[in-house]
Amino acid sequence: MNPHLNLKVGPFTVQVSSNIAVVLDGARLLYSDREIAPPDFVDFHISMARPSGLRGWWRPQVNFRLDGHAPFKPLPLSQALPMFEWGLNWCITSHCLDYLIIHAAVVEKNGQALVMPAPPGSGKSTLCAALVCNGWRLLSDELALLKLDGSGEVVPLARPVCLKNESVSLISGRFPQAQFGPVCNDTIKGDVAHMLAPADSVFRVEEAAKVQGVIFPRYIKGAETQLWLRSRAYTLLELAKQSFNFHVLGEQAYQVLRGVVDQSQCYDFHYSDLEQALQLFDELVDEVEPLTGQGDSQYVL
Amino acid sequence: MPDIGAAAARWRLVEGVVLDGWPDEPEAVAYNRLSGDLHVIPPPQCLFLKHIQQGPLTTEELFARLDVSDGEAVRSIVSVAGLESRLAQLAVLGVVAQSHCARD
Repeated sequence: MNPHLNLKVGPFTVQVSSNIAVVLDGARLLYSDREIAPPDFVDFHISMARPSGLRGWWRPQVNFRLDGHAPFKPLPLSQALPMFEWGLNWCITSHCLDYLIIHAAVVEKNGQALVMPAPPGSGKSTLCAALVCNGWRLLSDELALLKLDGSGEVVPLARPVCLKNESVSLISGRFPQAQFGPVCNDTIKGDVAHMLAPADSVFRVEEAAKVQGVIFPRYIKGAETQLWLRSRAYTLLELAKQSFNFHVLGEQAYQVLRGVVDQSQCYDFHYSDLEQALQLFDELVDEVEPLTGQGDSQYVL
Repeated sequence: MPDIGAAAARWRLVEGVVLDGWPDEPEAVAYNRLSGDLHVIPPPQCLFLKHIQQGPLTTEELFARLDVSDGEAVRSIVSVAGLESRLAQLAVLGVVAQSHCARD
């Protein structure tokens, strides 16, 4: 058996086996303090290895496998670590039905969690990284795991934040305390690097947080910092669109989203100045007052 | 045998559709528990659905129930044909359907 390590990633246990040093070393770096003894049960058995034959050596590539199955085409060996992270995203979103999973960042401060759904290129991860370097707790940069029990809570993953291109130098320059994995050039997303989750976020990874706000961020070069209320109906629809398993979970998922928008303030947010964005978010968390009881805000036609 | 030809075609909510809204917002959402389809229903269509939810209605019966005090969107519905057109849009979405049924 190849060398391997076992990781506790939020509610999941992951076993990674590989004979590629950069994979295990990189995973140990990105998930420092998350390595665990061999568990009784593993959610995802991941292996990463060079393909057999020529491409194992000439312009070498790497394959990602889950339970021996390769869902993706191989990538250049130099992209092995990003591939592990992207592959783990796929493992969670394709197989986990214990949560309603939304493509969104989630951060928390003063007990108030904000869900930030956004398409790629919207500046979500940059904003998320800046917030967690500025005192917010990281629950997730990519996947919001919403409980199905009606509590309106998000379960943390506290995985590394994937930053791309100029965002890497922007965050590392503005927040020198931030720790990064290696920069990987020329991926399909450009140059990427993963910022490690802050130690406090990892320490509190079993502490769920109640959603109090849903914010759709969008970076627009030169734009003023603007935040305005957004319709709950359209917010619910967009959350469903950004979900990976809304259609699988059915009415249970609808009720979860209904509860989340009932208990949240919903906003659109445009920004270009990171400092102003950070200030506004800090002010926002002081102002947002949780709605008391879903029934108060519910209006059934 | 009942003479269904004699009964007028009435609009009703499609089976499985639930409507939810918020008192401070003009839009509502329609979720179909059977298909999983989810739609935002803008005004005045959500007002139509509010009436239809009480029981099946013909287009004429629904038109008679619309009240100009319900807002600008309702005032834009000036004819039964205009209302029929809006209802047809909801039918395409699978939110309402017509059937020959007597009122409850």
